Amino acid sequence: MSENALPVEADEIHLHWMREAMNMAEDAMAAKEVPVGCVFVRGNKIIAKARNRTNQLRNATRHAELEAIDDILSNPSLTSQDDAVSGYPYLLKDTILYVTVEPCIMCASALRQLGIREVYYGCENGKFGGCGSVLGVNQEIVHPIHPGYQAHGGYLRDEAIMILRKFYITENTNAPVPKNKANRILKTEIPPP
Amino acid sequence: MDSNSGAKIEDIRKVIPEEELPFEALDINNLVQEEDFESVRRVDAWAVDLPDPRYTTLVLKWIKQTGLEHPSLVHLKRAKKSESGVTVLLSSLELHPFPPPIPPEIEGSKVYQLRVPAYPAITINSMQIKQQIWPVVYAPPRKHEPEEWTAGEVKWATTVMKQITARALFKKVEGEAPILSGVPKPYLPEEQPMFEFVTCDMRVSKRHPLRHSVLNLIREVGEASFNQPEDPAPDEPRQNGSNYLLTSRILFTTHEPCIMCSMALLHSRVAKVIYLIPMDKTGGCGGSACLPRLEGVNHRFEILKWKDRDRANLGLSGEDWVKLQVENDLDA
Repeated sequence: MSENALPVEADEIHLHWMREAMNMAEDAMAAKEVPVGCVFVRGNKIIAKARNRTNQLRNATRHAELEAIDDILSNPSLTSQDDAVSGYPYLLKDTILYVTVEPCIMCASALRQLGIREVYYGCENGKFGGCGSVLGVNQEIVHPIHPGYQAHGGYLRDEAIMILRKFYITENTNAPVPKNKANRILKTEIPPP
Repeated sequence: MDSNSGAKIEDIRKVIPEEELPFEALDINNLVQEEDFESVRRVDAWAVDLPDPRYTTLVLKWIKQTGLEHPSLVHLKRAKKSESGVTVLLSSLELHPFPPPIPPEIEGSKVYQLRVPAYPAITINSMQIKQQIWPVVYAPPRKHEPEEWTAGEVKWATTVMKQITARALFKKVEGEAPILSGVPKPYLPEEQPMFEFVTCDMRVSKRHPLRHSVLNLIREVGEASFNQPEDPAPDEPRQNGSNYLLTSRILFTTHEPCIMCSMALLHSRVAKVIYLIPMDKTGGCGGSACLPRLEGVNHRFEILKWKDRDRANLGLSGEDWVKLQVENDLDA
């Protein structure tokens, strides 16, 4: 379940990491990718950061989270060597994810399979959010072995929404069939969560 | 052409009745039943009572001009006449947390919140019930017409599934989980099935817990697209997603894909998924969840589950069948 609590001052550290995630989203925007970015934090350090690469890799599943997870798994110093195969002990059990948009159902499931400790996100994802917006893959869905994790929304939410809107009013020329968006107007008012 | 092959062509075009198909379609329709007053789903909207019915056209025009139109309200009539006068819906609360502005001509009219039906009426009965709350448009669902399969297509699909299981068993010998997925080239009468993509589970060999067969396949599809000529027929309009997605393709797989892989297939716009072994506790195609059935998702794919009774068609021995099984808590 997303909690959507508005961040208070104690959340300054979360906002700090979310700004790093937002930098990755801007990186995606510059590369004409859907502007979603993330950082994985372990022991107060970023161990991986990534952004959406679906157009570049011609693969609709290359979301920021899965990109970063692959980086972590390809780095032996970041994976507990015991058993990377089965995923146990959970590879991300001491790791927190900061991502500008609520993880989709696919990523939410991937994160649960890897035992992520906690997730902080910017704005909800009404089309395919996997942490409560469309399906509660993080907790509500029962899994026979993988424990659930908490997901907290609302961190740099307005910025996350605005960068997505900016992206979608410009033409996504990398999409399989670009749409003509010449007549679109950027809306600036943001509804509450 | 001799008379024999002519008869054969007739045969393979014969449509197989649903109950004789080796697989069954899962119902992915998600229609909310709203056949009594209490069960009508509602959403909040802003409404205004007009001081005089002659302002109706003016306010409707205002709604268009000021951008108050929104897809979430298209199933609702904008104006409602009652004994006390005309009420107009201005906007959804989701879109406007605060009361939207009204035209100066009706200034002073009170804008208030109203709970209105969230969906159009799919039956005459539900339309009459909703009418009491707020008039909605009548949108009966398209009649469910099961996909027709010809004898040739069924034979083709059976051969594909046979090959998928045979290859999965082979992979088990190599030390991987016996989970395998494949996308064949589209069916052509009189031609043997040809795989365009086949991938197995690679959690063991790649030492990566997310290298499931479906994700591996989608990755291969993307990589293969780099080797294709950029625009083979520049005069023809590009089909949506024809480049690197699975649009209009059928994915065959030994085990019901997990939630992650089912969503990956949805992202990739696959048309159909056919699986042999259900994964009741972890699957995303009817087991733990059924993703194409969710409200809100922007694509639906058909799910076909091999019938238990038709396992025999696949030529698997009892021993093979046991070897194909995986732990029921595994994400396939």
